Amino acid sequence: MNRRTFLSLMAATGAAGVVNNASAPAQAGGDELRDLPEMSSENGVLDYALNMVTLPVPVGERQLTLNTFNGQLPGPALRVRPGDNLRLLLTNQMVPAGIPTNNLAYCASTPADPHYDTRLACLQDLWKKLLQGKTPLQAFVYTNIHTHGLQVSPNDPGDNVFLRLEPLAQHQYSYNIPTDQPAGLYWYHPHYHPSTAHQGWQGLAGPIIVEGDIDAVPEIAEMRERTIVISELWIADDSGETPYSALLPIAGDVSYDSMPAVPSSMYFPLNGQLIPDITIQPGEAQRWRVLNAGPDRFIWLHVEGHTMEQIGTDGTPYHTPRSRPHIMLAPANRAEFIIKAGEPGRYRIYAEAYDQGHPGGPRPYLPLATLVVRGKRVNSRMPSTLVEPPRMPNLPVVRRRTLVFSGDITGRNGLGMQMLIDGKEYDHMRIDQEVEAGTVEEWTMVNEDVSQHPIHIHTNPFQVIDVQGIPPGDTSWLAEREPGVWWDTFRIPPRGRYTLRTYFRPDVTGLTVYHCHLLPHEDRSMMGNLLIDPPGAYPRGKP
Amino acid sequence: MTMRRRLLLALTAIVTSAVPATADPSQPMHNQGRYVFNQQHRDNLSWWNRTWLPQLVPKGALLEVQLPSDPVRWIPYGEPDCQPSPLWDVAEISGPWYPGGPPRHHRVAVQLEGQHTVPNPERYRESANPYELPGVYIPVEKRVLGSSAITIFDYQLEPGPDDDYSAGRGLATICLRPDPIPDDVRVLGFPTDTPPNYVLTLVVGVRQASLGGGLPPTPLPAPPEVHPGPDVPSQPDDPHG
Repeated sequence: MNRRTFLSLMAATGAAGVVNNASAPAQAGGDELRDLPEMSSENGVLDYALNMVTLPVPVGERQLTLNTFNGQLPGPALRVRPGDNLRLLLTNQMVPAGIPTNNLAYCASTPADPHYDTRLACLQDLWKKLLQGKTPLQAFVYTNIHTHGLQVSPNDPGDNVFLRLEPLAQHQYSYNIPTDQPAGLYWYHPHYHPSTAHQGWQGLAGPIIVEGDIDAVPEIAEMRERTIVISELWIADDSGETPYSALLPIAGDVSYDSMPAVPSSMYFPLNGQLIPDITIQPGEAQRWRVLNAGPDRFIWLHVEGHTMEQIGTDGTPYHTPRSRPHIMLAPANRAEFIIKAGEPGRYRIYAEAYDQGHPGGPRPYLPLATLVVRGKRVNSRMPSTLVEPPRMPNLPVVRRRTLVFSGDITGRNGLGMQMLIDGKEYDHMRIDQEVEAGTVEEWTMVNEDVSQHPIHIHTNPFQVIDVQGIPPGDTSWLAEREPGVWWDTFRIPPRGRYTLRTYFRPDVTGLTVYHCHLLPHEDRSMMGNLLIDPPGAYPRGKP
Repeated sequence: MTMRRRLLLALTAIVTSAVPATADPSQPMHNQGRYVFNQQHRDNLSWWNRTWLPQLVPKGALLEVQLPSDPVRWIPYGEPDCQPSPLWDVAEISGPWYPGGPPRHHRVAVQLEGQHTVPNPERYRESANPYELPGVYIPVEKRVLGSSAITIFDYQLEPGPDDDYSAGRGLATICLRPDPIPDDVRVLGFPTDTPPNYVLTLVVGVRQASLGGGLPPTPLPAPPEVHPGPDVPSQPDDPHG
C-alpha cells in the first residue's frame, strides 16, 4: 500500500485512521536510548571547551556529514547550579559542506530595487556581500552561541548573540548564572543571524541542566533521570549534507526545499538515535527532561498508553505535577515530566500529526521512540508537591506594547520567505524595543499569519495572561492555557494573539533580541532588537 | 465455513493488511527521491535579474511541481509552445556537451504521471510587502489574497535506452498555464512583472553535485520506492492524517 493510497483510505475511513495509527505496533528492536555525556560544575565553576567541527556522523543506516559540538549529536550536557560560573571556550572549526556546484552565489534581487536590475549590478551586489561577509558561503560558517533560557547578561563575555565567530576563531564565554535561576532544562545552540536554521538543521544544540530545589524533592531524587534532545536534521539525499541554500517551504513530508532543488529527507533523532528504545520497569517512574531542538517542526508529544506528569516548562518547575495526555513542544520548548510505566509491552512515543500552518496542511505523524516496559514490577513513589515557583513581582505594569508578526512565503516579493515584525525586516543596527530593567511590562503578540510563530524573548521569562484565537478543535493547547506557567518561548495561534507579562530583572541589562523560533523565519527577518536599560536610565536610545 | 467465520476472516485480513501501512511510517521522512519545485523555481523571475539558476537533474529523474492553484487550475502543455528559457539560446551556438556528443539543446521528454491537490487555506496570502511600501504597515484588507490549495504534478523524465549514453540528456522543460489567467499574478506567487505561465527549464544528465569539506563520501541511500497514485485529495485538515 503506497502512501497516497493510504491517505485516501484514511480519508475514506475518517476516524478509523486514528484507531489504526493508535493500534499500530510500536517499532521493533531499536537501540537503547543513550545518555548524553555530561560535564558538571565543580566548586562553582564549569570550564569547558566546545569545538564546532564538521564530521561524518552515523544516523540510522546512513552516514551524514554534520557540524557538531565536539563530534557529538547533540552536544554534551552541561550541568550547573544557580550561582555558578559557566565558562565555554567556543572554537569554530566548521567547513562549508553541501554547496551546490551551480549555486556558489545567489544573484537574486528584488523587483523594486533599481540598482540591481542588471546582471552587472548582480555581480556588484555579490562583491558587496562578499566584502560584508553576507554571502551564504560565508554566513553559513560564521557562528556564535546562545544559552537559551539562562537569565544571564547579554553582553560580552556573556550571552552576546551579535558576536560573529569566523572559521578557526575562538571566543571565551563566561556566564554568571544568577542565584535565583530556576532549576530545570535549558540549552545552547548557535545564534548567528542569518545562519541559525542552517546550523540547526545539522543538530547543533546541547542541553544545559540547572540543578536546584526540585532535584531535592525526595520522590524525584530517587528517579532515573533522562535528558532527551529531539533534533531535526534536513539532509540532501545524495550528499548526506544539509543543503547550502535559501529555504523554500513546501507541502509534503519534507517541509523545506532548496534552491536549486535536491531530493532531501528529514531525520528526527533522539539523542542522535533514530527511533530508539527507552526501557523502564513496570510501575517505575522516570524523570524525563525533553527538548525540542528542531528548527521548524512542532512536536506534539504522545506516549501511547501513558500520561505524563509534567513538573516544569521551559526550565521553570511547577508547584505540583500536572497530568498531561500529551504535551506540545514548539521549537525551543522544553518539558520536564514524570512517566510511570504501566503494563509490560512496547508503546509508541510519537509526535501526532499537527497543523502548525505550514503549506499543504498538517505535518505528518512522526514516530520518535519506543517505550519498552519490562522487568521486575516496582512501585515508584510519585510526588504530590514540588517547589515554590518564581513569582511575578507585585509591581505596576509600566508599559504595554503590541507587536505584529506577519509573513509571505510565496516568493512574489523575492527569493525565499519574507518574515516581518511590525511590517519591517530585521535591522541589526535598529533598536526595536527599549525597556527598563526592574520594571514589569505587558506585550501583546499579534499573528497576522496562518503559521503559528513560537516567539522567544531572550534573557527574561514571561507568563502568558491571555490567549486568543486557538482554533476550534485544536486540543494541543494545555499548559498554554494555564496563566501561572513561565515560558521563554510561546507560540501565537494562527491569526490569533496573546498577551504576556514579563519582569525585566534589574541586574541584567544590555542589548539582546526577541524572535520567532522557527529558525527559517528568524533568519528571514522575524527578529527584533531589545535594549534593556539600567534602572533609572530609561530611555537611553542607544546601547 | 460459516458466513460469520468468513466475515471474521475477511475483517481480520482487512485489519492486518492495514497494519503494515499504519505501522510503516518511519524515519527519515522523505519525498521519494523527487526533485520538488514550486513557483520560486520557475524561469524568468524578476528577482533573478531576468536570468535564472541552472537546475541540474539526473537522467530519468522523478520530479514534482507544487503550485498555488485554487481557484486557478493549471493546464500542462508541451511543444511547440513549451520551450526552454531564452537564455538557452546560448546553448544552441555553444556546441555539444562533449566532443562528438549531442547538442546541448537536445530535448528530453517529460512524462506527466499524475496530479493531486492538497488544501492550503490562507497560507499563500500576502501579509505585507516591504518593498512596495518600505516600513509601512499594510492593513489586512488591502493585501493580496493568494490561493487556497496547492496542486502537485508528478513527472518523470524519460531516460531513453540504457545503451545510449546520450539518450535522456539535454534540456527538459515543464510548462503549465493557469486557467483562468488571473488579473494579478501575485495570487500565483509570482512577482507583478512576471508572465503568468509556469516554465521550468532543467539541465538533464548533469549531476547536481555539491562541494563538501573534503570528508569521506557518504553512501547513497537506497533507491526510493515510487508509486504514482491517482488524483485523490488528501485530508490534511484531519489532525490524524
